[in-house]
Amino acid sequence: MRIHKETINKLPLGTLKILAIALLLITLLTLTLSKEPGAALSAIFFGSFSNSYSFGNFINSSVPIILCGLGILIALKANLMNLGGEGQVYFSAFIVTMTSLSLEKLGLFGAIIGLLAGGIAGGAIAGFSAFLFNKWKTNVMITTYLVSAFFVSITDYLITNTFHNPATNLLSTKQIPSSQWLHTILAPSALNTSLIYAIFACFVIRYFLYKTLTGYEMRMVGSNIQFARYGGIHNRSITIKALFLSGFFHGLAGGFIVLGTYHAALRGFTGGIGWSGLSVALIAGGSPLATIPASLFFAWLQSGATIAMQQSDVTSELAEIAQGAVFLLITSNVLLKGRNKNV
Amino acid sequence: MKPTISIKEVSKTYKEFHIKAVDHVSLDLYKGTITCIVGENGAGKSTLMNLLFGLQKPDSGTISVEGKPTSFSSPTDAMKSGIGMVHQHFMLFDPMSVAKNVVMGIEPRKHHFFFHTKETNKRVQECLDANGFTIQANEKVGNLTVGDKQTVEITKMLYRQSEILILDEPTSMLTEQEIESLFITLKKLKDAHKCIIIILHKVSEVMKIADTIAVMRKGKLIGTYLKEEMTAQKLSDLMVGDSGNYPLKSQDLRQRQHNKVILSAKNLTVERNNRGKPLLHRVSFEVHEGEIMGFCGVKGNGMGVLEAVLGGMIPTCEGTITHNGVDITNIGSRRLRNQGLAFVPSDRIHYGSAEQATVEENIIINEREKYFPLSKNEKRSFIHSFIGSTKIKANVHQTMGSLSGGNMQKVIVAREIHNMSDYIVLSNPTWGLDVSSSSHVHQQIKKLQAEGKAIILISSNLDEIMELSDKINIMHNATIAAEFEMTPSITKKIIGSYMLGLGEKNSENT
Amino acid sequence: MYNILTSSIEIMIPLLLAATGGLFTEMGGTLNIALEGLMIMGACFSYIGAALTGSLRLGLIIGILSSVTLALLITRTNRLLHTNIFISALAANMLAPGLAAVISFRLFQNKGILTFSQVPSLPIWHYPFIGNHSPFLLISMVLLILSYIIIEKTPFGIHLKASGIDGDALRSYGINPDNTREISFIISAVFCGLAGSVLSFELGSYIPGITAGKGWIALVIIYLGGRNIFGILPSAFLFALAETLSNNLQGFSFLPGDIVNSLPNIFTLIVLIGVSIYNKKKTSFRTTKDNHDTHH
Repeated sequence: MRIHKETINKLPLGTLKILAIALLLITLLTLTLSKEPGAALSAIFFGSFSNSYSFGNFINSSVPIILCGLGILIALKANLMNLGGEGQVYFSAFIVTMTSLSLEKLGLFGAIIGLLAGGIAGGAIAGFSAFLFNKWKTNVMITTYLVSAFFVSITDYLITNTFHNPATNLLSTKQIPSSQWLHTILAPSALNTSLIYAIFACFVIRYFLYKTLTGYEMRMVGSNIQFARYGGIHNRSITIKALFLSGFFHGLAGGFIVLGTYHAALRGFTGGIGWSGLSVALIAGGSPLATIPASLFFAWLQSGATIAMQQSDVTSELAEIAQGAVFLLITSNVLLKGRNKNV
Repeated sequence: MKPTISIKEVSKTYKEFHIKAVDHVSLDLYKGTITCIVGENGAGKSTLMNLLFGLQKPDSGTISVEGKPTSFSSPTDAMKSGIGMVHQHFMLFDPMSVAKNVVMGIEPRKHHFFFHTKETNKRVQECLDANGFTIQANEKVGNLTVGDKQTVEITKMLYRQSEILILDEPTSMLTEQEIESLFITLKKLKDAHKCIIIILHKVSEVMKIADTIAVMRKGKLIGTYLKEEMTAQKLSDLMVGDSGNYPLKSQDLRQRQHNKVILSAKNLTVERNNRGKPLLHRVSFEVHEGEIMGFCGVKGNGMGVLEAVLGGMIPTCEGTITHNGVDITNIGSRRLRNQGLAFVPSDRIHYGSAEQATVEENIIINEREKYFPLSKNEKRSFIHSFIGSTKIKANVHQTMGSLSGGNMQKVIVAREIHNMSDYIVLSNPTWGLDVSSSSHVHQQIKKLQAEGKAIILISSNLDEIMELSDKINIMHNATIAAEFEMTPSITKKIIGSYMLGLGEKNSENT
Repeated sequence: MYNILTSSIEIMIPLLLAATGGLFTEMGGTLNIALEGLMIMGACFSYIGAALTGSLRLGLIIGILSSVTLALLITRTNRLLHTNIFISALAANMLAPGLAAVISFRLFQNKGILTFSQVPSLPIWHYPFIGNHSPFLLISMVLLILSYIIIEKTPFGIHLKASGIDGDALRSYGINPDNTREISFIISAVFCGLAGSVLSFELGSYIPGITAGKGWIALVIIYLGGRNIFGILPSAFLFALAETLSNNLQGFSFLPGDIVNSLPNIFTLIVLIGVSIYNKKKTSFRTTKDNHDTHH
């Protein structure tokens, strides 16, 4: 079978190189730091597949990452970098919990409203940065980061103090009733129907970006803002729409974590998901469907590192280091020639 | 006398644009003379100077300094050989003193590590005084006038004892008095045996300051002349080239005046908030049905600004634009598009297209609201008929940037024509295009005229303007210097002289 | 009253150091968001270094070297691979706590709070008028003056400022602004490594999160101090004073810990918004509406 040159050029060789470097780094660190490297490496790379419980949890942990990845991707298409994922996910998870609790009489329907409320909360947080940019050209990367960090602290406070559930020892809110929980797929693991919704969301976003007017306008703004203005696209409105949608999807991620896995809001329980989403979006290189394998890759590393921590003598932070290394390299124009200058 | 600089058969091509910017140019430059390089836009003057200063490398030919062939890989090399250049945009640091700006990179040191403020101020002040400049070395550059800033740039070169001084359009932002001062300075430097090269485009200035005049056109050196054997008119003619015979227009001009006025502009003025020289000053005109109104001039005299105003990209701070009687002043590009604006910009890469997007995505931008609700089949047939009409062989899913310049422009022109209402603005529409693409664009324009559309054609290409326009507005110094109806008696000579500033009421053309 | 002064000075020292280092990058025209990560490196690895060698001085050197290494990682990949410096700085902010956890776990099977008796306590010096403080107070003052000299009185400082004003213009003089910026980044790493060490040495332990946003506060201090070497001193003191007062008031549950954590970010945000409002008066085009204000 002949492999055409165009197909080869489409393979994300540069990206694969970077991911390979990340894996190499983890392997090297494990070899040097662990007294039982074989066991550690086996846990990292294969631990997620060892049984249905680990496997289900591994897949489940990729779900919020997919949604955050989509959120980042939307903003990137309009040439905006949303660095506020952490706070958007966390705060909206809190909002989803509280809204669902207050609507517990409405059961699943109340949970859906809660989900929407969380999405809007996330969207509003990100949208605020769009407002600042439109009005005073304030740097979007920094404002999204700072506003989000603020909301992380606020949510920490609200969960630990104001809405703390006195009945448990956990730093958590009250649990939502089981009528509002999403159905599990692979018991006893936490994998639930949010997986299906996340995959569906990828297709929805792909349709939105490439088959709708607003998606087109966003992409033109991201591709050449002067051209967009020349063609009469309303740049300010696009900025707001792009960032709001970005925050909205981060909010959905937070919501699904609550409705599908934890059924409550716990202090710090969404930590790191925003950053994983960012790595994933950068790796996926602008393709909504590629978010799925990219998220699975990160979820695999993260759950592998956690299992290795339980079964051997390495820390879960190995995955963070691998992620940091990916961040360091993924924006390189040299390693990734001819990629869309989305960053 | 041996030449200080000897340029032999130097060429430089910009491959992406199929343009030979410099075409086998040979030129000798001598100490103690002021040589003016003149020519229209795109004649190759700036490129030639960039080659001399090491900003670019020639594709072929040699440049020798004091008899030694050189190969500059950067301006630093050129500076070591004693060449200094003053660019059109100043390379200065406003918050710092004149002295610091002048010595940057070769600072006098105290105890090897520290900056010797006293010594620096002293040396720079000496240099300033020696050349008769009244600027103080410890003055902040930001507080200086434009003329003084330019003096600082020249001082930079003198401090480094450059023997060869290049100045690129030094007069464009100066007042009359500052130009006088500059010329006095340059004459003094010439007497001190410096070799001075200036790019100018105002004939009156050239006649004042030049000893030798080198005329370039379309990348070639047309000739070198001594000032004594030159007159203002002769120079102007040389710069614009021969007049040709242009076909008479089919419809009688006078009759056209009774056609409807489609677009009317009064007193268009563009200023920045910091109140510098206005970028456009009281431009007024009326375009009728079936009329091609041409705007021509040397680049930098307001045509790009006019184009941007008509396209809704920048606002006018005075005056109005009316379309079929309706006021459309400053309504912005969005609303203009909704009303059927057709606009082919001069910068097709930065404004007219999105290179990374597909051809299809570039085509639909103006009609995007109509396009997306269409069914898949309807979309496909829309795109195919569009491409068919441009007669290009291209896959609509390839990126716009992968098309050749000519094909890109055909697509852009077709796109703009496709949903235009009754007028179109085209700016430098055939710049960088090969002959067949250029003639295709010109055919489209003539077709539109036959259909009764109003056409505004802005271009620095005189041939194009003269061939197509019914009326010509000549832009100079951000305003309309002259208007003519295009009849056989209007020659390139005449237009050229207005473009180059000879036709001004207060010009000194001796 | 006296306690408030002493407390404020103690809190001020690491802030002042980080801000001074950050000023170098700021002069070069780079917004340095890696200050936090660089401080973490200093805090963790100087403490571990001191524990392993038994010497504060050696530990300090190790801490500063680790911070410089991280900075080099950012700048080298940025220059050689043309990455986006903001994302790379973020990567550094992620890598620092990760590396701290991984290495401390490997060495001590503990990725949390590290307290070792073999780490010597900081010597206490008697300063005239202002009481007893660590040697770091003098060191930070000396470094402040040294920084002033470097920025204002050396060609390097002039080139650095020039690269922040107009990098391309600097190129026309034959000086590469990328080099000056990279050097300024390394200098900021030295200062931040030092600042982090102060935190863990003063405390006598390394706690993950010991930096608590001080890297961001350092940026605010720079802007509030007018991006000027001597404005940083009062600005840093002001923040230290604010933190002291809020710490004292925490006893009354006036400001809970989480809210206090949020303050650095809010302050930075407000200052940033203020800066962009101030910068907005740049050259834009006049429109017909502007004419109503002036009598033309």
